[in-house]
Amino acid sequence: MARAAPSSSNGDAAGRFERLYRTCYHDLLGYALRRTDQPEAAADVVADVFLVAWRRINEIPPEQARAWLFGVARKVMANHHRADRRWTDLAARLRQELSQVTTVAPEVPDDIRRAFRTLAEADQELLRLVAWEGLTADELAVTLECTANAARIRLHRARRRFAQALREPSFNR
Amino acid sequence: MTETDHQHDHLIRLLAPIHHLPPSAQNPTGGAASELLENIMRNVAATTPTPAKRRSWLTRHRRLVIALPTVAAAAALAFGISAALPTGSGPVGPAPAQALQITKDNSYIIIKIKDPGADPQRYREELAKYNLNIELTLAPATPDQVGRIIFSEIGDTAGGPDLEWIEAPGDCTANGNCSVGIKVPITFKSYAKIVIGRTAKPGEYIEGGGSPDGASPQDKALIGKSVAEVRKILASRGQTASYRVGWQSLDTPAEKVPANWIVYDAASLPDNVVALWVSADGKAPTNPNPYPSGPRPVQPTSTP
Repeated sequence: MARAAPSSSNGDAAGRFERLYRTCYHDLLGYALRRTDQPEAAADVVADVFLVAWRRINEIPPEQARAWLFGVARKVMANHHRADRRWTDLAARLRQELSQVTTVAPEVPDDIRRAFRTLAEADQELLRLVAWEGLTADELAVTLECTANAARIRLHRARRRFAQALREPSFNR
Repeated sequence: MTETDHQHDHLIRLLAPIHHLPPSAQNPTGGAASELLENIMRNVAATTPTPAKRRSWLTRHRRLVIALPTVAAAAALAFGISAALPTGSGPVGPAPAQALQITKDNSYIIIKIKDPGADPQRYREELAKYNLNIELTLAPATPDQVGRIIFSEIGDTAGGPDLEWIEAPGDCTANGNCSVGIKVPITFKSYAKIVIGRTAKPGEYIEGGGSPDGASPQDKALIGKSVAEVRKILASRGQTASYRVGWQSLDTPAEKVPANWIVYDAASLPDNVVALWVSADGKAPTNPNPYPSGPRPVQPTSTP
């Protein structure tokens, strides 16, 4: 009793959250960096995602925690540009360190870049989640909060649309 | 997934910008990550299980004494807790009227233990009169810890008022426990669980062992060894390990503890379990954010 006992639920939640944080921090940071204009902005995305995760620690599916976090990240980023968003100071140090980040824009043929940009934003994000973050269709379902079947169908359609866009010559110069 | 899909995924991957980060920023156990983690866990007054801060004097005493907020010298009263009453024997003089001495000033409720032999229920009743969600219980302890606070667990105060310990620098035990009472801000909103030492009955298990600093020689022999070695030693003794990682001593499952980590502290628990505090470098991790609130100086950034 007079010891940091492993059996209390308080310790379990904090322990579970810390383990989740350490495991997924790097991937969440990468996710945010790849989608924000300024690297510093990624700090707030990471902070907001893990704030939600800590509040809802008991809801997170243990086997799909990473995919669940990406789902939160999508919503955070959607709210990212709102004027009434409250800025917190939780990630001040991370934000400061991210100001040191150098970004290398990819060298990709313009056609490919344009083809991708013709896709609806939802399709783009779907394909990015698979290609950039390595999500499987089952994990996509957790991230998008839909059934695995629905995720597979949406992915299939997004891929088809991208393939179609690649075939069409671009006249926008 | 077709071959075309693979190729297209490859093309899409090419579209991803590449970021070069300083190692300190991307390291999940680095300063930036740890500070954010700490801020998140302190910042959220969760309605679900709250993070508890635990402090134990039974082992790792030096680190904990440093971590305690101490009351300014002017306010600290050098009194001692009446620690002489053995459990089970009759009172030497007239029985004390109260188990606790509780006094109140403008900002605090001050709790001093007067009778560590009293039934904890009496403590609860007295504290309940002040609307404090504080649970006081007793545990068997070595003689020098009788009447002392030997364990505390404080719920998430969300950066608000916290309990303070009354320290009497001249009245310390061998392991650095100088606490003689508790000051509770009247604005304290959270919960706390405090364990006070009482005299052990013959044959009773004293957590932390019988030696003054709370660790048996067997436990101490494990310090400095690798987790791999210690696992073998414990197995040969028929004991199992329970791991504590990080400055918060979080309980961690065995499979998450690398075999090449080093034990920096150890203590026996009931049921032949040994608690092992472990870290990668064999040193005790310090709290990366010891200041409760307020602006922090800007750290100079390292070049990648």
